[in-house]
Amino acid sequence: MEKQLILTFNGDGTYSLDAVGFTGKACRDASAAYETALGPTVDRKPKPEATQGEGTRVGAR
Amino acid sequence: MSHFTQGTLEIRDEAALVAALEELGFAGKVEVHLTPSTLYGYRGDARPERAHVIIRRQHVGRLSNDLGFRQEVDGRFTAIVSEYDRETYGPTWLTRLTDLAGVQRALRLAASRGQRAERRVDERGRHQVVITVR
Repeated sequence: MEKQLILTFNGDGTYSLDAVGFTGKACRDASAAYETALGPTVDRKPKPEATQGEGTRVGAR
Repeated sequence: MSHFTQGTLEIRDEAALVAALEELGFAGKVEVHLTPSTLYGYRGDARPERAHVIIRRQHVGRLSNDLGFRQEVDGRFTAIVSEYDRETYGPTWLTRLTDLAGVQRALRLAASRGQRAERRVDERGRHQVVITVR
């Protein structure tokens, strides 16, 4: 699965950053520069795949 | 850890600010100064405010004053808009400018990191930048 950062500019002076396809710390490493560049973070929520290890395929059994 | 982030946009990147102003119709009309320069009123009178990024009044409107953006000590740009011009260049316009400056900042950062970035508009009309990370 391709790793993507989806930045959405909400039209009210805020932005959202959604990381897709990441597992583990790679997500935080990839997004940190964008969070710093755009403005202060007000909320950060872990996603379900965050608890999976590196290399785990989402949805695989 | 994988996450979903929300944050507040700030304009800190001069190049992104200029590009956003150009998108909003001021291409070729934006002055950039290393040290803050005087803003002028609609009668050509020098105003007390000074700014680093300026759109002169003749590009703003017939009875307008200069629009300015001053970079503060902490790096953030603050808009200087006269009371008269706030009808057109008030909070709604400034929020749009801030959004576009964010888009430009993200595109520039992706390019500097060698990452592919695609700009698009979602179904709700919001600007998005999709960055592919290898």
